[in-house]
Amino acid sequence: MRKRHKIDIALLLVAVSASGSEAATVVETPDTATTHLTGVTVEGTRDADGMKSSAPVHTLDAGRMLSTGVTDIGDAMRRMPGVNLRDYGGTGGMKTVSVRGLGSQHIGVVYDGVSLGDIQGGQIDLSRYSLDNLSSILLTVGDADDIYMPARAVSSASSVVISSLKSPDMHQPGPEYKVSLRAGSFGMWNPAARFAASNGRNLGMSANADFIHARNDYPFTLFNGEGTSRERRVNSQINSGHAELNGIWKPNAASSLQAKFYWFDNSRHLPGPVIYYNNESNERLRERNVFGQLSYGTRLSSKVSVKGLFKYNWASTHYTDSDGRYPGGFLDQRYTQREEYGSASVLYLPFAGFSASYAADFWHNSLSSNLKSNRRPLRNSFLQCVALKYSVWRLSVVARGLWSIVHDRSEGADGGKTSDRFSPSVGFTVRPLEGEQWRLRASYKNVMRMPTFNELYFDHYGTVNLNPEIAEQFNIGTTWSRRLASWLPEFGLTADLYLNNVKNKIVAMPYNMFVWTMTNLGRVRVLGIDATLNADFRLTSAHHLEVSGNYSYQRAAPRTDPAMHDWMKQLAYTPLNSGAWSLTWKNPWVNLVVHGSGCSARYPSSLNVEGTRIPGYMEVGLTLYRDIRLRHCALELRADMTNLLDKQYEIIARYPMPGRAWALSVAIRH
Amino acid sequence: MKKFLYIALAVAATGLASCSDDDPKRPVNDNPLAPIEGYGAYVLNQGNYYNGIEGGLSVIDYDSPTAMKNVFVAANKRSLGDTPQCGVAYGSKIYIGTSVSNTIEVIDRATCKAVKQIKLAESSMPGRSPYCMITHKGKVFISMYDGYLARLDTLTLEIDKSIPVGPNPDQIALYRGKIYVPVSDGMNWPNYGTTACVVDPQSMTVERTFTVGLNPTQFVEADDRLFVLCKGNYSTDPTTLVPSWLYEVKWDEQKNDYKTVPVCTASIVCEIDDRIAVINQPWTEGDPIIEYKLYDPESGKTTEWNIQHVDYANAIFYDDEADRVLIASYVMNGKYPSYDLPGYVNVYDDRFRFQTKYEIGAAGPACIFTHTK
Repeated sequence: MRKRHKIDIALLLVAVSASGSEAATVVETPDTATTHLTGVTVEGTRDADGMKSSAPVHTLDAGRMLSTGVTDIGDAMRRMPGVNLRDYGGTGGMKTVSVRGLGSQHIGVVYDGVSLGDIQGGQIDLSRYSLDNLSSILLTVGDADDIYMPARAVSSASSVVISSLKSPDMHQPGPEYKVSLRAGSFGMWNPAARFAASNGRNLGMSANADFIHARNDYPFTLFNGEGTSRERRVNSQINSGHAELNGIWKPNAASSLQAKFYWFDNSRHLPGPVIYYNNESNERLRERNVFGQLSYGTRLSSKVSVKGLFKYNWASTHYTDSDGRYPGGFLDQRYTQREEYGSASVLYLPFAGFSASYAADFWHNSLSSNLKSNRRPLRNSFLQCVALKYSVWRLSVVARGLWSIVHDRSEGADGGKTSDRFSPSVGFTVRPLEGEQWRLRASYKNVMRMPTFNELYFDHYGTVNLNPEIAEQFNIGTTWSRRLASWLPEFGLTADLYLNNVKNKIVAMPYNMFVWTMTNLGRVRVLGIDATLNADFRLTSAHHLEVSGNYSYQRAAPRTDPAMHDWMKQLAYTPLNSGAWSLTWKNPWVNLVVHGSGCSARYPSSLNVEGTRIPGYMEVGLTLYRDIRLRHCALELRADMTNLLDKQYEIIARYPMPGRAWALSVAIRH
Repeated sequence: MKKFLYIALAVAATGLASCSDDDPKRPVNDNPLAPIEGYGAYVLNQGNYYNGIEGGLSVIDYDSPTAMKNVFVAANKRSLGDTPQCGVAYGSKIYIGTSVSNTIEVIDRATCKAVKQIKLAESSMPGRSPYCMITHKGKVFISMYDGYLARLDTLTLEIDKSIPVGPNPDQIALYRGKIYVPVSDGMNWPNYGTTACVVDPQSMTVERTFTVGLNPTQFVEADDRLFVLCKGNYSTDPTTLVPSWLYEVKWDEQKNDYKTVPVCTASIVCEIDDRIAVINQPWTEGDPIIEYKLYDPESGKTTEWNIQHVDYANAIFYDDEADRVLIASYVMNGKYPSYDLPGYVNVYDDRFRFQTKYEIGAAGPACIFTHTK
């Protein structure tokens, strides 16, 4: 058993050092001398190693999410340092993240290797991704060390890479299935099913579907003057369904063709902010998303690999509200956006330790609506990226140059507008001491963010002549991990100090109460520290105590103009201190996790207006889980108690978070 | 004649004390009652509930250098509600409408203690989202932004009648015994309304509907003449802009209908001693020219209004009992007005000489009225 474990590690390291080439033969194992293997075949994608990367990388795989008691994707994001979650509360509440004070539009989200996009608002609502179907979530702050990726994937300041469950084991014919049911407080029901099969050689498929219903009518305490009252969220229910079909064909050991079809349909009632004396809310939102993607990669020779992908994405949003103030007493807004996206990449490995890549991406976005002001905007984006990576001695250097050309056009605007920019990045990591897993790292990344279509064209809000927002990221850090003793086989620390500068920040400014305008007015400087700790205490052969934690300090200060009232205050919804922790006792009976996450006080506006301070919080949860192996299958049992201490808190002003709640889940896996 | 203004409250420290991380209660002011003698005005602040900023009621005593803020909370230990929009004092009571909380608070004028809270969502009478109030013969008339004109009886404190008048009625006025209602259709951008209607206050019937300029938002009476402010389309594109304009409403004998005659460009208007004070703040890019003007209906002439300017005006009020002019303003955040920071009110004497500047509660004043009205 122990030997098998070492080989698994070795295979993973092969993958890391090969930069995706799947061709290396020299392997470094963590505890022993160099071992030479021949004829190693590596299948699947590499997971980045946050301890070795030149830029901060934080990964939560499915096992880690289980063992740290992660309850949903919002909770998963809170376990990563530097992440600032905006959660509107409950099962159906929108969840978006920003990283290191740069705003949620600076985050790229990659799902199964292909970038997701929302041309209208520029931010991805992560609440649509159920943990049941995920194999890992990876956050890269800056650029990843993997240079063999589409240009679009490196065009954001940070990226969240979401990977769904892997394809079936191609060497074991026969079906795999998993059926699960999760139920919890406030009328939450979440059935899910997955099926996968392969022909045992080169062809495989998987299908999965899940559905969630929740009334989401959780109670909360309303503080009104000196009094309090116990209220309930109303008009908050959600029905959401999602299904995927995946296929993979490997015509030979060096090639792979993968296809995915994705469907998502979400209908929810929006409770809106808590209003004094008025519970009435009739807002509805239906979001639908369908996409299909096809990717192919092959190794042409021992030195050259190529890959390409194509994706078509369709998404619609239908918002309605019944209120006598609207014309006809009803507001009905429908938006449809489409995207066609293609990418081609080549990787060249001329000699050991050096690799180079080139990627070219093109995508076309369009947005239409039923609004009277519909201008049918279009955007064509062409990105090219050249990347070099060189590893020598215990030093590794990665450099990139990204050239972006973006053309916007809309009805009523002559000729449109073109933005282009060269965005460089560089990172290095060095291991000063042989035999020690101690590394120093530094990175720099310059990136531009294009204005969203809302910022450009929205009624009484958008400004068509906006320029891109520019962000610079500087990071220095260190990582250290080692086996300290037989009772402490894993111990790891990371610490990073960073400085971010944002220029041409796009901010909304009022002409008057009725007319707002977006301007490239803002400048922001963010200075911060991120730190993580992981330790595995082996109490006995059957009892482990796993400890993990992260802490972030962010001083995010607007620096547009000393004459402005927000000068050097703290950015809206950005806490100075935030962090999360978990304590896991693994044992033969029932594994037990106690976990918590929280942050210090925030303000809903960068003006930090007195009386609007949102108090800090620490939410504590408890998770119990156990796998029971039966004759032909395994039974997964899990129980969660979230907000164990029933702490009343808000992440967004006037959107109370749920108090104490429970969830039970059972799954059968074959 | 000097009157006594009995104000219920003094206010705690100007800043609202921060809460501890363990106590999410919102801070309140709870100083003891302190009757104040003198002329004064009530000021409503809308707040900005999206950013957690509560609106409130402030009181200005012209003899005091500072305003008393959040007096409703101090007197009642609870919030006035979200987006206080309109108010009026009549008899022994003050009536305040909140457009988002959708309530009408009736409070005692001497103590500011709540007498009754009318939750419009629970009312059997139609009409939601109060926007403007005027008084006439024992009744409070309220324009409701969902398309109604409601009448509240000041004896029973119940809405006794509510009639449809058209989409998004705004600032109403009493003129020659009739109520004039601008039907802005302000939620229907870019197809704003171009009509107004005349309502008989006794029968609560619409007697006539007539055409005015684009986006009518306010009627005002001066020198026994009627004027209407039409705010145009707010366009930032000069080629499509319909500017905000003040019109005089006249009777057209030939057409047997009302007609409108342009007076001048205007953003905010107020009657001052039979003249109309005008502030014009165009919403265009660059550095728009801001004008302070006085229009004399009798002579038909517009002259410069020689008065100390504020940063970014949002209301003018004339206290005819005290013979004072009040101009409410946002504070500027760089080049732009801030809707989050506390605004202020400048008070001027009868010759428009600056007297006192009062800092008002969060997010700028929305409505000013006195107990004498």
